[in-house]
Formats: sequence, C-alpha cells, structure tokens
Amino acid sequence: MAVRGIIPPHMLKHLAESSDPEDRKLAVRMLMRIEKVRGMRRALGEVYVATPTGGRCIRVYDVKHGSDSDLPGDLLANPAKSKDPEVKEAYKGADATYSFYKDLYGRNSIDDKGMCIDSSVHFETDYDNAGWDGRQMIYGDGDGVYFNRFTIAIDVIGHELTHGVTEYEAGLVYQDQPGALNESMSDVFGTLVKQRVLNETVDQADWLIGEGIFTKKVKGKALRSMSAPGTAYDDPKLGKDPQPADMKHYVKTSEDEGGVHINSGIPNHAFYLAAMELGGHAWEKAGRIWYVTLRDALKPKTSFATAAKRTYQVAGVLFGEGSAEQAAVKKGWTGVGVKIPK
Amino acid sequence: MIIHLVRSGGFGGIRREVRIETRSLSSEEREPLEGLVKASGFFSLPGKFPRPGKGADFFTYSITVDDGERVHTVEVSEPSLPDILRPLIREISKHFSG
Repeated sequence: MAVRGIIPPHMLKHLAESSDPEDRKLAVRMLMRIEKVRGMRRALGEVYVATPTGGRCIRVYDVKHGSDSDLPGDLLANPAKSKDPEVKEAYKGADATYSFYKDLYGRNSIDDKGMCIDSSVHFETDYDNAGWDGRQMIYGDGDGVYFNRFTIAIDVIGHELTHGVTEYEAGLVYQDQPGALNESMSDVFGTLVKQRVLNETVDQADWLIGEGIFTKKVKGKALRSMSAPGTAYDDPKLGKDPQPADMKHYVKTSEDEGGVHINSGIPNHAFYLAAMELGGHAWEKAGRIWYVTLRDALKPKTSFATAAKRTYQVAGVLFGEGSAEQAAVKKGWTGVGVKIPK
Repeated sequence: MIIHLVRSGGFGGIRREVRIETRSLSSEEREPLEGLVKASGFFSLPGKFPRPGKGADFFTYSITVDDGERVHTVEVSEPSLPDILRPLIREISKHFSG
C-alpha cells in the first residue's frame, strides 16, 4: 500500500524550491520515501511489493486491578474469544486499528516495524480512564456510576494506539498547541477506525469520541464531539463539555497540560469540516492527508497554523495543487479561524 | 486540616475538584486522610514533579494541604506519581462530588 502513497516528484518541486527551510526539509523527506519504495521495487523486478512480514502481534494482559508497577500483568490466551467483554473489546479494537493502518496506509503497527500492540485491562479499581504510557495501552473499568469500561468505545482504542503512532512519527510534545494537535490526531484516527469498522460515510458517522462510556446517569452522549465541539455533555455533576470549535474561543489554562483535551476541539473540527466537504469515506482523502502529514510533515513543537500549512501542502502533493482536496483542507482550517500561513 | 485537590486531563479531559475540611468529617473519614497526609511526608515533597517524557491521556493532579501552620501544593502527573502519594490521592478522590 505504500506504493499507492507514491508522490509524483514534480509536485514536490515547488516545495523543494521554497524559501522556507521547513518546506524544503519536507520535500526532501518525501522524496527520500519515494526513492526507498522505488529501490524496493527495482530489487523485486517491478513485481508486487510484498508487505513486510512479522506483522500483526496483538496481546492483551489482565493487570488485575494493579497499578503502574504491576504492568503489564498476566498475558491472556485467546483474547478474541474471551468471555470478559473488556478483554475481547481490547483485542478487537487493537486488531481493527492495526488493520486500519495496514490496509489503508501501509503502516505496520505503532512503530511501522510490526511491534506488538500490548493492552492491559482492569487497571486499578473503578478507574475512570484509558491511556498510553509510552509502551502500551491501559484501560480502566470505570466507576460504574458515571463511567462504563473504557474499551466499550472502539474509537478510544484507536485513539490510544494513535498516541503511539504520533510518538514514533511527529513526536508532538504533550503540551499547549502541539499537545492539542497530538490529542486531535488521536481523535481523528480513533473516529476513522470506528467509521471504517461500521463502513460509514461522512454523513452517516456520529463524529463522537467515547460514545457509550457515560452511564445512563450522565446527561451527555459522549466525551467529545468533532462535528460540534462543546456540545457532547452538560451534566450537573461532571460539568459541561469545555471544548472550543474555533480560535476565538481558544482556552488558556495551565491545567490538562495547557488544555490538550480542550483545545483539540479546534483541529478536530477543522478535520471534520474538510472531511464533510470531500464526502464519501473520510479515511480515503481527508484521513490520508492527515496521516501523511503526521508521518512526514510535523515536528514536536508544531503549532495549529503550521499544521494547517502542512496539511495544505500535503494535500497539494497527494492530490495536486489547486485540487478540490486542497481547497477542502483550506476550508476546514478557515472554518475554525486558522489562517494558512504563506 | 484543609485539603484541596484538582484533577485535570485524562482521556475525557473532565476537570474534577474537591475541597475538604477534615474537622467536618466523621472520624472514620478523617483519620485515613490525615494519616495519609502524614505518611506521605506531604510537606517535604517537591512542589512539582517532572513531567513524564512519554505517554498520553494521564491524569494531572494539584494537591494543596493547609494544616493550620503550613500550606503546601504538589503538582504531579500520573506516570510520575510516586507510590507514596497514590493512596492519598485515591482517598481524597473518594470525596469528589457524586
């Protein structure tokens, strides 16, 4: 599938000749990838480029309500057929996410080298969270009063695994705007994993993150909404969804690493607007642009404005300068008040 | 003793906050709290623990304790959470509204 990602080198010409050194570096990185794939093809005599072996390795562990120092816990045999819904969901979600990256974008696991995807369930007791610890995923059972188990939503699993992808690629620092971009990348690919499993078009998708995690007691449909950030929940105990949908409402805070789970609403909505503009299955065009950008074009301290510029450039490289895809990307970012810098 | 905890971050990014005046609690509730503050050596802990270099979606805590003589605040993110603080945070978290 990496072959499908081949970019006509002439399209990189304008980037390679840009006065901006970052643009030139991006062009060089993309050209190097093309050369790599070409070299592989030549070596194989122009036959089909076989996918690297040593792929799909998905493991689920039970940490039995233990904490960080107890990770990963006991390795479980046959998690796909487990009677424990948390085990089964953790496995199936990781498996669907692996397939998503592999089938659509030619990526072989979190590190693109086929590393095992490890998940531990039953983390601590009544734990209202899921996370990526830099090595593996952890899932809490939820308190049962306000929160159900976190594996219940497949987009949460895609979200966590994408944190691993981001760490291996762009390395977006988990603070302020780069941190909110890191969060947004996880929401984007988390929801795309769900959309692909359900085979939904942009109009059919709910664009919600964490649907099903709240119990019936909570007034809210999910933890976040990409189509209407700030509207996912409004509950007397848990408060109101604090996400902004545009730069005018950007939240300045020292909490949550500078509001990484709050301001991610802005790039989330930009992606949603671009995907809606393009229609069809969001993973085919908008998702592809975002993925190549995450893989090749972002740096650890990228701001929203630079990310906007990079997605715009990548859309130009993948689909052509002045293409409808490039226009849709611009429309997405403009819609959230991010101007694409020259 | 006054204990104030703010938890931010986590997958949901839902902020939770609680302020407890221990003298208004029953002895069953007050004793473990005050005991864990003491056991953690709270007033000797650094005000800020280093941020974890990797990982995402972890909880971030800001804990302030006022024992009438001293006031101290500790800020820490879950992956850097020392084992000595974990039981105290779990105990305070029981008092989140609802």
